[in-house]
Parts: sequence; structure tokens; C-alpha cells
Amino acid sequence: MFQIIYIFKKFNSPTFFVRLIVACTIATLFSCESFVDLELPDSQLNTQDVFNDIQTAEGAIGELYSKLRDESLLTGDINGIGVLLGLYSDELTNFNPSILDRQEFYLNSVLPTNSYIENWWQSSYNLIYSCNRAMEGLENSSGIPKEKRDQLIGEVKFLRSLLYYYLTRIYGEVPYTLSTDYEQNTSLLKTGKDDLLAFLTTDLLSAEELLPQTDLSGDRIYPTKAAAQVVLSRIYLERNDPEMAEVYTTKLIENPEYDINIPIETVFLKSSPSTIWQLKSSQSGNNTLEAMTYIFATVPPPNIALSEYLINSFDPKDLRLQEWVQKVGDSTNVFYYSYKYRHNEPGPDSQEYSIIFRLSEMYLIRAEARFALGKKESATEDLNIIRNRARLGNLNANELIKEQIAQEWYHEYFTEFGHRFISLKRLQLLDVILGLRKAGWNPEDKLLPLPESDLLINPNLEPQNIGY
Amino acid sequence: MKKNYKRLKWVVLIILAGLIFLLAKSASAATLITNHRKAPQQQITGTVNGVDNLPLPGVTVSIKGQTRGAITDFEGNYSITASIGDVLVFSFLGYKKQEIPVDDRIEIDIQLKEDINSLEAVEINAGYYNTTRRESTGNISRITAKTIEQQPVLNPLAAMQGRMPGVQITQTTGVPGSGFDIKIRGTNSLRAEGNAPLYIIDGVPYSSSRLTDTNLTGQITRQGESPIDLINPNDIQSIEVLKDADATSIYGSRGANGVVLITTKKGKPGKIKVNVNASTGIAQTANRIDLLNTQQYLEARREAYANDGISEYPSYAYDINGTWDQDRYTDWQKDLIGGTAETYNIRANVSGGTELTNFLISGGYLKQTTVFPGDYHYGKGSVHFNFGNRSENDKFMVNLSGTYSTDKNNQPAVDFTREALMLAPNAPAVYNEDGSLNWANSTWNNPFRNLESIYDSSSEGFVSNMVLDYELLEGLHIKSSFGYTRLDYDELSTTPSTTYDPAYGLTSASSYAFSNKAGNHSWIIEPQLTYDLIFNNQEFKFLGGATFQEDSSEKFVQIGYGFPSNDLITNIAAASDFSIINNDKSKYRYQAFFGRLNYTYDNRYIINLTGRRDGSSRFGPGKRFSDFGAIGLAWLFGNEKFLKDSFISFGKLRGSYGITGNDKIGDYQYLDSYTISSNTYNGISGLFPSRLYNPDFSWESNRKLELGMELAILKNRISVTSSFYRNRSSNQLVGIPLASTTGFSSIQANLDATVENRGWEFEFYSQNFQSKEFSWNTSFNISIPENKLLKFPGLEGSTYASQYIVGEPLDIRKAYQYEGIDSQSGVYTFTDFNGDGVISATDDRQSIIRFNTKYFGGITNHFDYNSFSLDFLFQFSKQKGNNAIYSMGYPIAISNQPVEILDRWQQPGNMASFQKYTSGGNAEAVASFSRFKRSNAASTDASYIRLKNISLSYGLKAKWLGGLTGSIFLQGQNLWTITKYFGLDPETQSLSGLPPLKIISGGIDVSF
Repeated sequence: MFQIIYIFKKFNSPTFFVRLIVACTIATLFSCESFVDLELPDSQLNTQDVFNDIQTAEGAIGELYSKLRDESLLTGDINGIGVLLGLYSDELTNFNPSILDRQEFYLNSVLPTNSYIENWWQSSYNLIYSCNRAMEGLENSSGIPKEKRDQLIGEVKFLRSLLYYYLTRIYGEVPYTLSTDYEQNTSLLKTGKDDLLAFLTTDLLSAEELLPQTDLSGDRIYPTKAAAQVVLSRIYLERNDPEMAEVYTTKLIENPEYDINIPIETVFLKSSPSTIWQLKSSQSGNNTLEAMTYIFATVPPPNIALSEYLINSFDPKDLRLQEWVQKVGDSTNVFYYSYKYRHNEPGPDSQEYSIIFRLSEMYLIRAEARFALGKKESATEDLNIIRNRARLGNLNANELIKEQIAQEWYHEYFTEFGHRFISLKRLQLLDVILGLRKAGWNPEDKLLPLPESDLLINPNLEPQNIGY
Repeated sequence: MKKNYKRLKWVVLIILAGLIFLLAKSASAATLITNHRKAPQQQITGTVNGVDNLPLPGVTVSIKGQTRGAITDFEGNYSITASIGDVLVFSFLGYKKQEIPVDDRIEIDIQLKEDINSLEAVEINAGYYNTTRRESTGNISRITAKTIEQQPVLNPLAAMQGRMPGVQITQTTGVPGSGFDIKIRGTNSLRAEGNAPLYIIDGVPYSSSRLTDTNLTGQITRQGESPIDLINPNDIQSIEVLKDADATSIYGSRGANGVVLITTKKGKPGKIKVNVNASTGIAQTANRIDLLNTQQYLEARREAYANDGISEYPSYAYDINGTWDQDRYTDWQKDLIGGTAETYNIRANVSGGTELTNFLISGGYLKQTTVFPGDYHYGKGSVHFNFGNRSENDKFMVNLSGTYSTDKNNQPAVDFTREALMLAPNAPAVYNEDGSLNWANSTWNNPFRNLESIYDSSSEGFVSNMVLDYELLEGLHIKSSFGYTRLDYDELSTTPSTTYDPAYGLTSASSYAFSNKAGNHSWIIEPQLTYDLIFNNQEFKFLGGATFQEDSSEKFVQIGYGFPSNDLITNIAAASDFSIINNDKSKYRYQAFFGRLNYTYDNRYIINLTGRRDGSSRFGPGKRFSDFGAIGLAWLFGNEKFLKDSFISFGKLRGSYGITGNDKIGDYQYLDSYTISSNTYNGISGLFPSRLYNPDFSWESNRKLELGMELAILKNRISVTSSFYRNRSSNQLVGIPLASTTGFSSIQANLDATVENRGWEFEFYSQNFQSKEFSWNTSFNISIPENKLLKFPGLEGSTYASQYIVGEPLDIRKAYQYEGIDSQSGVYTFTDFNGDGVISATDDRQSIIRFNTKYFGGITNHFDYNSFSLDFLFQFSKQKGNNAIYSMGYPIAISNQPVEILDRWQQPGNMASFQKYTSGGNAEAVASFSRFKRSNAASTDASYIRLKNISLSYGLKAKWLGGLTGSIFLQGQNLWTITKYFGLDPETQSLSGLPPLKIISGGIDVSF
């Protein structure tokens, strides 16, 4: 210690220290302007840099698929439209009334404060924001080869259109924005249905052009031209343009990459040739959220089961009843679940991915389009292809009515992304069918309410949908 | 602004160039002075006595006009060399300075007189400058080592409780390491994390943000330890809390929530002195709650089933269906939280120095074991040093200080308190006869399973500071401080498979453990110029300086699942699967220029101007710099002629107004960036937009107004200080709610919301009795705070709508309005505000519970009788709080209850405070109980008066001890609480956290 004191004494020459202080002061003064300007931390990247590099740009787009699979309205878990629109229509029965927001769907008494209504809206617009942000980034991108950049732009346009498509199916008129400016986006007006569908058509046509013919990963886990064509054909149908719907479904049906005639129990395997686009599971070995959601082993069912209407409407010979539905229970208490996806636990390798589009839909849409054009003959042919695959007999073309088309959607697409509800709505059969089956149904239920939270913040969203 | 900076830079450069020139001159002049010595010299000795003719040790004896000096020893003796014609100056704190010419004497004895104005002359640390109570224009509260040392506490904040007006400190739980919440003059920011004060240790800013992780600490130390908890109270010389604008504005953007200045101990010139202090004691939980005994409990359970119409008890009702012994009784509070902890505290320091050099080296260790079953402990050790040196010509000064602290906390991963209150009184025995845990055929969750899981943390902190100071001209100093701090945290929390019932057949493959490694280091450089000028009756003090600071933090939290053996669970690397929960690195840079101008006229009028220009990396370009400042005025009316010889011995009126800021918003919030996600898609790591991009947000500002009066009468025997303050925080940095169509629910921006804190603070001191043998004095402080949300545009549509109401305090809860029990059905009823026949959460929670404290404070009495001294502090708080109902289960499931529930509804017509019992079978009763918990009935008066501290000591000062002085002492903390609160403890207000501990400790303090 005395040594230290000694050192202090030694440094008693004052000029030494004063010079040190002065030097420090000068040095720091010179650096002050840039002093408080910091670089990014390791866990964050500058937005424009993200889109100047292939790897990170793909990461930004890949995140959208992960979110779509796990957190959006298309999620296969119990918060997605597969379950909730299934409860809302006549696909599923609710066995857990204590979750009030879910019960509201089942009873067709959804309130504007319903958390699912809010979450679907919020997560969709969050993804739309990410799409718009990515568009800005990709359009100004310099580090990515044109071909790759076009493909990513195609993916973004496709995803954005897909989200708007579901939003308008659920909420009716919704705001449409391509901007990331929050000041503008916080007070948007609703866009009319016709305008919105026209915007989506333009975007999807551009996506169709930009997207590749085949997904080079080989797993059909990235959207291709065909995926854009699926949404286009849906939208043409909504726009009362059956001719174009027929053109687009035919393009796909004639595409040799996709095959409808496969054994019914293999339709939902990850390598199925009828799959147009699917979402890969989060980790290798994982299977789908859908399987975890629908499959149950004990009675009474913990949450949901297939409705009796659905089970009873099947022809017992129907292979889809035999292969895609599973029974649980004893002789007095029988419950059914959707067994389309069969692997509800992880294994060494993933067996199933969550399929968003598969080829059957194209036959059903084309049947609807042809029916609308008065081509009953060819419409029936399309339906028969689906029926024959399930070992059902042909329909009579002369007696074809829209209820039969609806029935085919019901049997082919139960518990898949609300196809039942959306097809009944398009075929204007909601009141006829659900009016009889659901005590709480009334005609205004064809649209769900806009979320209360957003109406409070943005009065431009008024009026609320009729009936809420 | 850039332009301004350039200009400023040149101004500073010119000043510096001038200084260098002057320096060369003065340095040579300095040499001349040191060489100029008088002769002949002689040795002068003598004794200095104080009042009652007792020798005074520690008196500084110096020669006027020179810097040489000596210090009196324990007998009051001194020795110094001086020449004829020199004048000796005797000075000692609390005594009047005396000057005695040497003449030709070689022995000079002297008796010093007490200075009654000494109270006002005590130096107070105001951060960048020192002031005195007399001269201060601001509001600064202070406690010193003497007060800290008489409290057997682990944490410096605990020592401040009840002693400072305007400073509200509450303990979160009694578990060591769980920390304290501090609020200086209320809640200013709508963001919970935006309310911490700025801590400065020896001039170095010290982090207030926790590095612990709630994944690990959540169930035991809650938010975990705050870095300030690491400081050993034994190392502290004084703690000053700066409250008003005059005191805090010089801290600019960081001063909004007040500033806590901690000064560590320094050595004093004189003979080398050794001080050793050792104490040991015991601690127990301060409060308990009266619960049902077995007979009452079982009767209640039976009644519950009878009410539900269930006559055959279900198979899982083990307590009453005969599975468990119906006569067994365990007092779980005694078994789980009723243990006796031991406390140990030892500290030693060596200090001393010559007239030019002084030093202090100290070390200390504190330890507290547990009141839980099992062998847990908390230990804290520290090493502290301080060296000071000045040159012979008194021009140059250097001071170096450093403190290294470390603590180790070993606790169960889960606090036992909740289970101590919830377990059925007839639950089975904890151990089987063979000593293994008794799971009673899987009929219960044995509480001792928690002994298997551990929470272990070790943290280290190092704070060091060096100050160099050179006097260029008389009164003109150039100085700079250099500071460095480093904090390291290493935490582990384990949940081995053995915490589960063996019937589940789990192996170590199901065990998991969390680990957190976090660190923070920062440096700061603050060059400064000060200039003091006195002519005639005017005094100028000028200070100018700059700050450069960098602060880097990192955190790495991970979980490991599945271990080959539970013995390996403390080594996460042995886990078969990992997942990273948090891996964050962030950096913060801060830069400022500050200044102070103080002018005193005739010792009567003082004006104090302070200001700061701040730049922070937390804001976007163009928003980084902002100006803050304050004006403080004081009128020392006690020095006016017309009061000169009156009974008023000191009188001051003061006021201040100014702006401070708040930049506690987290780093990088203004950036347009993407964040790496934990998702991967097809093997590619995801990236998502971090936030809505807003580079335009800026500082929260806090305008503080203060008016104060300080008055002392009858030769300072009675003094009163009263202050009124009004602080308005506006430009609140919050997430402004946005429509979801923006992609997000909010954006980080300045909201035009205003929070007001206003209040009164009073301090009162009186010397009640003063005689040779006996003296008694009392000090009392009380604060009456008021908090109000003045403005919040768009509150209705925002996510804050259910939390705040304009015109109300921030700390409120919207609750159901309890209407009593329906005398027919026997269930609780509530007001149906919107009259729709349904009690709904959205529309019927209209009763507002205000949790803000009405007033709080403390009263201290100090007695001296010969060598005995006794000191006790009662702390009080008038407040509302959540009572036991808020966190208890419905009466009565398989869980014990407070005895209060015996007053229940039994049959139509009954009036009671609790509704009819249910076992859970009556859905209406269960639902109404859950509303009851969210109603105004779940809050009650939580006011309390607590004997916070009592300290008795006996001074050892006798001839036969030789040079030894010291004392033996007995201290107590939280010994007695007076409250009507329904619950476990009115301070922590929780049924799941350990209440504060009461501590009794005794020890000895020796110096030689």
C-alpha cells in the first residue's frame, strides 16, 4: 500500500496529470457527434440489408410461412378457421363450452369482442404488413439476382392476396393497403368487394407470372404458378366470372405434375401427388398441428368432435368416411374425429405436412363454374371424378342441383380451412342448410363482426357488419 | 444543432489552450511556493478538549496559510512543527473553528466551543458539487453510515425505509435477493420500467435494470435481484437522494425519477486506525395468518359438500373421505416458513494517512440462512478501498476508489409460503418412517418436494472511480473523473424429476434446468472545470463539464431438458436437448454537457442555475439531443438583520423549477430493422420486422416545481422543514394504440399524456432534553403524496382502457362493486351497473379501488444516557391493498382458509361476511366467488405502523482499555407491526411470498 502512496508522490508533477486531462477532453470532444450513433446489435438487421442478401431475404419470406402455419387464421391448431368455421357451420360439435369465445362460434352468437375475431384480424394484417415491407425491400434490392428476386416478389404477392381472400370471406368488406405507412394505415376506409377482388386478381396474375413452374425443393412447400392459379380460380368464381374460373382450373387439372387418382389414404401424406402447396412442419420429425387438434383418444371428447350431420350425410360406402374419419367410444357413446392427418406425435421423420391446396378443389370449382355456365354434363363429370375416387357411383347430369355440389365440398373438404362455410356461402345455401341445423343461425351470420378494438380506434371502419 | 456543436467545440478548445498556457506559468509558480519555507521551526504539542472538558480526538490542527496539518489522537493530543509567527487553526465538525498564534510557546492546550449552526454546515453531496444544508437551494435527503450501521439489513435500500420523506421503499418478499421497490415522489411514467431512479456510486452511474431472468427467479425472488442489492451497506458512508428540479436537472435526461447518490467510505488523515465490527443474530417471519385448525377445517369441508347436496364424498376428497387421518394437525406455517434464520455480519477496515495522503481499506461479509426447511443461505462479501493524495503545494489532488462486491444466493426454486397457507391442516406427514418423502399413495403433493429443486445465483459487481483535480489559479480547478463498472450474473434454477411423485415414473430424462448468464459493463469520463470566486460579500461558483458514457449489456438464457442423471442437472451442457430463450446484446451511449452557476449575495440570497444538454443513443437521428435545466432560489431570512438575535436560529425559504427527462425505454427502439426469429422454415432462420418504424420519438419530460421552508429555533433545538412539490410528466413514451390494419397494435411514440405527482413533505426535529448525562431527541418525517393521470388522449380505444382513468391515480383497479350476500340464496351479489341483468367484466367493473399511498413516514427517537444510547424508528404507511381474499381459493375446496371465513352464510336469513361454502359443486357460488375476488371486497385498508428498527448500544471508553474504544450493541428490525390488515403482511400484500423477516442481532464494535 505504501508503494501506491509512493507512486502517487512520484506523479506529483502536476503538469503530467493536467496534460492527461486536457488530452482526454480534447479526444472526447472531437468524437462527440458520432458518439451516440450506434451500430445494430447482433440480433437485428437493418431492413434494407435484409433484402440485399438472398439468405436473409429468404429468411424474411420463410418467416411468413412459419407464421401462416402456427399463428394465422390458417393455423391447424384449435385457433384456426378449420376448427372455428367448422363449429360455426355443421362440421363440428363443441364439447368444451367453458371456452366462451369458442362456444360463441358454435352457437353462432359471435360478438365483436371475440378474441378469435380480433386475433385473425390482427395476425392477418401483421402478415400483410410484413408482405408490404418485403415488397418495398425487394423492389429496392440490389444484391439479389433478378430471377430470385422475381420469385420472392411473386411469393409475397401471392401470400398477400391469399390473406386478403380469407379476410373478405370472413369479414366482408375490409381495408386494402399496400403501404407500410402507419399514419395512413391506422385510418383506412373499407374497400368495396368488387374493387378488392379486382386488386387481388391483378396481383395474382402478376404472381402467376413471377412464380416458378415447380418448387425446386421437391416438397411442394413453396408456392408455384399453380398455387397462384388456385386462388385466381377461387376469385373468378367469387367475381361471377365462371368462364375464367373454368380456364384456370383446367390449366391446373391438365398440369401433369398433379394427379387426382391416388389411393384415398395417401392424399394427406407429404409426398402426395395431389398436393399443390403445403406448409412444412416446424422441425424435422414433427407432423401437423391438425392431427394434434382433431385426434382424441378418450370420451367424451375433450374439445371437439365431428358433427352427427356430417357423419350421417355420408354414404356408408364412401371411402372418405372409412379412411378420413375415425370412431372413438363404446356402443352407447360414439364420437368421431377427422382422421385425414393421422400422425399426432413426432417421429424420426415427418410423415405429413399441412396441405393448403390440393387438386380436388380444382374439380369442385370447375364443377361449380360449369354448373353456373349451364354445362351440367361436364360439371357432373368433374364431380364424378371425385366421387369415383371414393368408390361412389356417378351422379345423374340431368338432375344435378347445387345442393349436390355443396354436398361434395362437405365430404371432400370437412375440417379444412372452412371450405364448408365458404362454399355454402358462395352457393347461397347457408340459410337453407345451417338455418335448419343450427338453432342460433340467422341470415346476418354470413359475415362475422369486425373486431370492436379496431372500430374504436379507427372510426373509418364503420359501419359494423349488419347484425352486430 | 450540428452547427451549435461545432461552435461549442471551438469555444472549449480555446479555453483549453488558454488553460495550458496558464498551467505552465502556475506550475513554475507552484514550485516557488513549495520551496519557500520559514525557519527556525519547533515542535509544538498540546491537548484539545471539547465540551465538559473531555478530550476530542480527530481534530484537524493546521498552520494558517499552509497545508500541513496534524490530527489529534484519542486522548486529544497533537504534535506539529511550526515557526514563531505561525497561526494554528483548530477545526472539527460541529465545533467553532479557532485560531491561536504560536508565538514562542511549545505547548498549546485549547478548549473548542460547540457550533450551534453546525447542523447547517454539514457537507451534502449533490453529485457534481458539494453543498451544505444552509446553502442548498434544492431538496436533498440524506442518511449516513451511522444510521445504516445500526440496522441489521442486507440491502442498502432497506436501510433507507421510513427515514427519508418522499422516498417510498417497499420490500417485495422476505426472501433474500428479492429486492426492494423504490419510488421517489411517486410514479411518473406509464411504463413500469420507466420509474427507476438514477443510481450513482462515487460519481459513477450504476445500472438499475435487472440482469436476472424471471424464468428462474419468478417463483422465489420474483423479479430477482436488482444490481443495487449487490452493494454491501457496510461500505456506504452516505446516501443522498436528490428530489427536486434544482438538484436533479444537472442529471438531465436521467433525473426524472430522482437520483440516489451513494458515497463510499473514505480514510481520514491521522494515525492508522483499525475498526472491527462483528454481529450475529436470528431472524423469523414477521407475520403469520390465523388459519383453520383441523376440526374447524373438516367441519367446513363437510358443510361445503352438504351445501352442494353431495352426501358421498368423491374419491379425490382425501381430507374428509377417510384417506387422511382426521385427527392429524400440522401447523404448516410453522413447518414451512416458521424456521429461524441466522444472520452474521462482520466488517473490518483500516484507515489513516498523512497530511497529504489518506487511505481506507475495508472488507465485509454478511450472511443470512433461511426460515424455510432445508439448508439455504444468502451471502454477500465486499472489498472496498479508497486512496487520496494531494500534492505538497495543495494544487493537485487525486482520489481513487473501488468496490468489489459479490453475492451468492442459494434458495429453493419455489417459495414455500403459498403451500404453507394452502395445505389442509390434516394433510399427511412429510416423511415416511424410513426418512423418504411421503407421497401418501399419490394423494398429495408433498411440499418438501421443493427441497429437490434449487435456485442458485452468484453475482459480482465492481465499481471504481478516479478523480484527478488540479488548481490552475486560485479557485479555478480543472478535473476529470473516470469511472468503470462491471456486473456479472450467473443464475441456475433446476427442476429435477425427483420433485414429482414417483408414481409418475419420471426419470432424469424429464428433468430440466434454466440457466442465465448476464453481464453489464460501462465506463464514464467526465471532464470538468470549476471556478469559485469570492469578493466582499458576494460568492460565485461555476461548474462546467461533459459526460461520455457507454453501457453494454448481454444476456443469455437457456433451458436444458433431459439429463443422464439428476446429479448432472447443475451442468446444462449435460442436457440432451436445449433451447435458447433469450440471447440479447445491447449497447447504450450517452453524452452530455452540463453546467452550474451559483451566486450568493451577503449570505442571504442564493441563486442556483443548473443545466444539461443530453444526447442518447436510444433515439433516432435528429432526436438525440435535448436540453434540461432548472433554477433554484433561496432566501436565508434567518440571516437578515431584523432576525439576527431573535429566537430563530436558522431560516430559509427556497424554491425551484426545472425540467428533467427520462430515456428509460430500452435500446434500439427507433431503428428500422428485422429481428432474428426462433422459427426456421425449411432450414432457413426466419426474420421478422422488429417493430413499426418510428425514428421520431423523443424524451419524456418531467417538469418539477418545489417550494420549501426550513426553520430552526431556540439555538437549533427545534427545526422544521416543509416542502411542497408538483411534478408533471408529459410527452409520455408509450406504445400509442393503432388500428391493427397497421400490422401492429401500437407504435413507440410520445403520447400527449400527462401524469402529475404532487405532495407535501415535512421533517421535524427536536432536542427534547439535553444534559450532561442524558439527552433525548426526536425526528419525524411524513410525506403526503398525490398521483393523478391528468390527460390521456384516446384512452378509451387503447389497450390502457381497462387500466387507467383520467383524473384518477395510476395505481387503481376497476372492480365489481360488492353488494353483500343474498340472504336467500347465500351467494355474493354485485352491482349491475348497466342494468342488463348480467354481471359482466366489460361493463360492470365500475368500482374504482385506489391503491396509492395516502401518507407515509417515520418517527425516530434517540436517547443517550451516559455511555448508553438507544435509537428506535417507527415506520408508518396509510394505504389500501389487496387482502387475503384477492389470492385465496373459494371456501372451501381442499385447501386451508383464514379463520375469518367461519363467519359465513348457513341458512336463509343469515347475515355474514362470507357466502355459503361450496366444494366446487355449486357453479353459481364458484362464479360469484371469482367475482368477489375481483370486487372491491378484495381490497382493504393495508395501513400499518411498524417498529422498523431499534438499536441499543453501550460505548466502551475507559482508561483501562488502553487505546481501545468501541461499543457493544443490540439491534432489531421489523420487530413489531400494528395493523388491521386482513392478510399475511401489509407491506408485501401477498399470500405467495415470504413476509419480511424480523431480525434481532447483537455484536461488538472495536477500534484501536
